[in-house]
Amino acid sequence: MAVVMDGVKKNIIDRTIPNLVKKFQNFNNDDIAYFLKLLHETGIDLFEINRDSMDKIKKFPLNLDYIYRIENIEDYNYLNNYNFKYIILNYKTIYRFLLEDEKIQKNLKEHNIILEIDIEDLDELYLSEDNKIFCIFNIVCLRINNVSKLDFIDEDFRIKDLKSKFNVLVDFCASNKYYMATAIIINAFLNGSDIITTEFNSNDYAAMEEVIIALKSIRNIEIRGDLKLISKLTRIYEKITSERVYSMKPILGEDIFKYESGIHADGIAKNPKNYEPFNPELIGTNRKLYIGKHSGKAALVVKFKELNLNCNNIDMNLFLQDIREKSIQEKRNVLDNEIIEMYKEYNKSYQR
Amino acid sequence: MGINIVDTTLRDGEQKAGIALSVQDKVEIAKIISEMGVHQIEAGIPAMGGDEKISVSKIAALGLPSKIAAWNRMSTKDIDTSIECGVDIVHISSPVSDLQIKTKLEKDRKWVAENLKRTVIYALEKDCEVTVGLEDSSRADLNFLIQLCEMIFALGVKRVRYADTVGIMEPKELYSQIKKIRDKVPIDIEIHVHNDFGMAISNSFAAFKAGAKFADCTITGMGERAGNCDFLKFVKVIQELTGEKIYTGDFEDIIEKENEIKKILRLNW
Repeated sequence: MAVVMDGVKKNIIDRTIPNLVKKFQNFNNDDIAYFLKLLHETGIDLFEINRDSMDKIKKFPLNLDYIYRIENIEDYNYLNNYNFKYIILNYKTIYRFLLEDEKIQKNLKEHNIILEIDIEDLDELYLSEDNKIFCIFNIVCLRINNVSKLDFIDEDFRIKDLKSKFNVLVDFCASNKYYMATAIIINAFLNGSDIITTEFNSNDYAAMEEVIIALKSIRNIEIRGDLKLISKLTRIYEKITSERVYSMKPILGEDIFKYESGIHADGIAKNPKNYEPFNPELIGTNRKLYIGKHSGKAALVVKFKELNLNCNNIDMNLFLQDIREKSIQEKRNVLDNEIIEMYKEYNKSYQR
Repeated sequence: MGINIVDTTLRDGEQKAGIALSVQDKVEIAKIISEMGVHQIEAGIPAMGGDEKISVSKIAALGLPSKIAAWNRMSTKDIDTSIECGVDIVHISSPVSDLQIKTKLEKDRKWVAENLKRTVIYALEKDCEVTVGLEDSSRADLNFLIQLCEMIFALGVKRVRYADTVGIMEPKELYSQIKKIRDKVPIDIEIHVHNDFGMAISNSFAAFKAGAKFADCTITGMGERAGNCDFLKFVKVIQELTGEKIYTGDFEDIIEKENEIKKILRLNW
């Protein structure tokens, strides 16, 4: 169980794999196994996969819990590949399976079903008088799909209403069409959703790392996982995709704990909480002080200490001026070895 | 217009570690940003002196359609330096959360209120248009925020910046806070958010729905840590969800301008 709120355990479904196999080819099984292992140890309970996933990744680790997404009748043939904890069927296509032979129907009825329904179709489900799918299939959870907008005003009564009317768990899966998915999922989680669906480093859905670190840091929710593994997760993800994660990606980006500006450097030196929403050690990384155009004298003194350089005999105001000029000239921060070289030059001039 | 964009690429954006723009870079970028149709450009911090002060002066002298603002601490010296640059707007900023007041400034709330008042009056008496930045608003006591807004409004300032300095706000809570401030004080709100948990766009949109008339953005969303509200993404969301177009030309035009700026910044993302 990944997340505990007010003593109630909630689950996280990960749907990274279906998107990965859609975008990339040629997967190393060991890398995938390691990636899933790390996700699980970070706090993910359930892994959603589809037929394409099983075609491209020959072997999934057997010690994890999987959910199988069935979209076509042909997908049914893979149903016995693993001991799936849930099957996902879509509201718009579920009736197709009622027309199939009895063996398929019987087999599906023996599984726990997550019924995935777009938020626009919820009214239809409410109004539907016979709802026979609830009688035919063992629907244990409703996944509210494609939620792309956040209602800022209304109380979120609908989740509780859904649970009591249909006697099901509720899962939320947000669309990032308007860049609101993370906010939508956090809101759903806080307002009664039993399960939330996320993707690692996602642009299409709520990003897992944003959601769990936000729940932990902002709301102080208990996350039953080792969040320090997030840095390792990023590395293996980059290996699998052969692409670097965007450098400013929230939680994962390599630039997010670098700082330079004088005001921020001073604030962080006094108390990192002044300018950090969470301690970088929470996710297995650390902060890094850059020296450049926006540095103040205090930061330069800190850097000197870090590099074991002696401030005596150095006019720090002049040195800072030179640092700023060099930074502008190079269009970047001044590197540690460059600072050391500049320091040596200063000392040579002083000795003359 | 429902919402006005304040571009802070040349101030908050440039504070991203490892970014260092020359005077020429900043002048060129300011021209392009103005062509995109933004209401205001926060050009930099003249109090830094050197090239930074020169670039703000040069940008102010361009006579761009966008208003040009300079960022200041609560310091009359900072304000004088900004006035020397000829900017349209003097922005005076202060931490307002107890955390930052105590550990960063090593002061108290009373000191902040007194010095905000002192420096705002100073700038207003110099005939400046003044806006006030409330840093770390999202971790501040809301009642204290409202008191400060009442004081600032009574002095004659028409706009305050609500800053979610470490990106910890959630949209519904932000919507509620902006509404409460606006219910008590008829002052314009400028929303300034950071993207630490991927909620910059949703937070800026929430603030707009609550009545904020100004939103701070940067080109590519670049800025401290995970950056700020991404200009292109935000204006696209505003257009798709409200029908309002708050940029010049077609969307493809501003994508092209963003690419021009990325070349100057030497960004490869």
